[in-house]
Amino acid sequence: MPIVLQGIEKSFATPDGGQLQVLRGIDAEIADEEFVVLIGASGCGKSTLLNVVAGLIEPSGGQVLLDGEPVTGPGRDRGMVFQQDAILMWRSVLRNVEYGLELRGVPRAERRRIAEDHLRLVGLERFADFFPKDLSGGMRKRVQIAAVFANSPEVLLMDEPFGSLDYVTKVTLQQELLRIWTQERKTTLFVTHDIEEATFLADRIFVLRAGQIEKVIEVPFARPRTVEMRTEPEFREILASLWGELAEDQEAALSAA
Amino acid sequence: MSVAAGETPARPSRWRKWRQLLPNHWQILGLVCLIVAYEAFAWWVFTDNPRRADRMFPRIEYVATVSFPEFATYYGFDEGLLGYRQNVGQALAVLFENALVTIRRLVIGLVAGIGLGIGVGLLVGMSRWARDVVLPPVLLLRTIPILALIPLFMFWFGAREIGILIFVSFAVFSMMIVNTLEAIRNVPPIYQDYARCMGATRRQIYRTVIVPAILPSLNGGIRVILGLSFAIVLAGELLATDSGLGWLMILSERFFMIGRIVVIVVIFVILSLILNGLYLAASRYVNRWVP
Repeated sequence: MPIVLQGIEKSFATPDGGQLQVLRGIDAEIADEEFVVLIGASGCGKSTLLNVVAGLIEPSGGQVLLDGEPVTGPGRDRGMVFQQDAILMWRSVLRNVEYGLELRGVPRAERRRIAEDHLRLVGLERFADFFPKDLSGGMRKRVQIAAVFANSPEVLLMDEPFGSLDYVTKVTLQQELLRIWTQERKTTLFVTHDIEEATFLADRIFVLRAGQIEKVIEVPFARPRTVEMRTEPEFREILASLWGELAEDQEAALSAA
Repeated sequence: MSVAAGETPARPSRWRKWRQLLPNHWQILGLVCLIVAYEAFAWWVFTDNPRRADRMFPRIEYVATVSFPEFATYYGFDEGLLGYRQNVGQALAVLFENALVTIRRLVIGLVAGIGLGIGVGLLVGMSRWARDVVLPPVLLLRTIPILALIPLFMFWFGAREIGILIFVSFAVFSMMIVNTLEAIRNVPPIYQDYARCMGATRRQIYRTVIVPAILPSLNGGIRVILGLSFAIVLAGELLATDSGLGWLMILSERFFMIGRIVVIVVIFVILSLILNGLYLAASRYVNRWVP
């Protein structure tokens, strides 16, 4: 499902009565089944933009079009993987993955089958009856991804999903995500501040700065992508240019302060 | 318990979980110390003035062999039979019958009060204006010591069963609704955002997120209420009824029968332990997902 962002603006009221403009007119088009990563320094508005697309935040101006239809609120056509653990702690792993299907009234046997398939996809079939408290952070992320995919959304929104994980778990999950994503291709918006993660996952990278899209970087690598790819010169080149963009941002922020 | 991806999942055994409900060696030692201290004090009073001591601070033996059978005095009370009697069977019947009356009041009051508290709390909890309307009067009512309301309830409902039931329910309700509203306010917003993104309607968010999410925070409040509920029922029975353990207690007190009061206190302790144990077992199961 293609996404069109038309002049999206968002400002928040500050405690001193002023206005803080977080998004200043974002225009972009994301093609069907495209994987776009939003990257930028903290405070650049990338998470806000994602929440606007999710329908959790209402923009102050502009609109998001999904397949030509304007977004008015959250909906199951857009699955969101949050940065924090959003899975329901009182449900077993399997019932968490069934959650979206249950809301839609899918019959028990069918939703069980779909949920088990998705648990197998993330390698957690042996943990179906466990409660989230008994899982590691990485496993909880897998449950969340399985739950979102089982709900078969048209669009996948991910808000720094691997931000809190250690390096090895993170890289493993990035690969798994790509593997699952290749099986069930969805238009994806992925927010991160990790340039390596961005380059590894994306078709295109939007670099955000001060509420605007500063630059769009095309990532030319074919899929499926491998870990070895990370050491190729072309990959390092993209990293270097991303580093340039973000470091410049950091310097600007420091000199402004 | 955290499990890495490669390990085989393992669970703690059932028995180990349930055994935690029973007192361990040290806790038993503490209880024994309490009983020994009581008896030692009673003996000390007894040797000092043997004639009056058992009436002031009865020894365990006196309580068991004299005070306890004396409850037979109230056997057939409603048929007009009254006189000094000592009969273990009749005493047991009297205590059992009145304990049942008290338990019935307690359970009805708790179920109605907790149910209504959670129900009304859920109804108004999610809407800002509904909460603003309901909460201030409830908080205001709560500043009145609940026992001070007994005369009012006596006036309104008389010394009838319905009066004490409403009194207990009201007391439990007023504590429970505040507890529930607080719990609803503390549900992390991320859960609701997640549910909305998964396509949940408002009603579904209530059923699948709010209700289960508040259970652990209700738990603490309910345990406090269970403890207080005995005091509330007892207070109601002391002032406004003609049956129940509280009523037996007031009779014993009027006739200066300290030993009989001790018997009733022991029964209260046992009942309260049973109630707590049952509740703990139930809440452990319901809240087994809590980290």
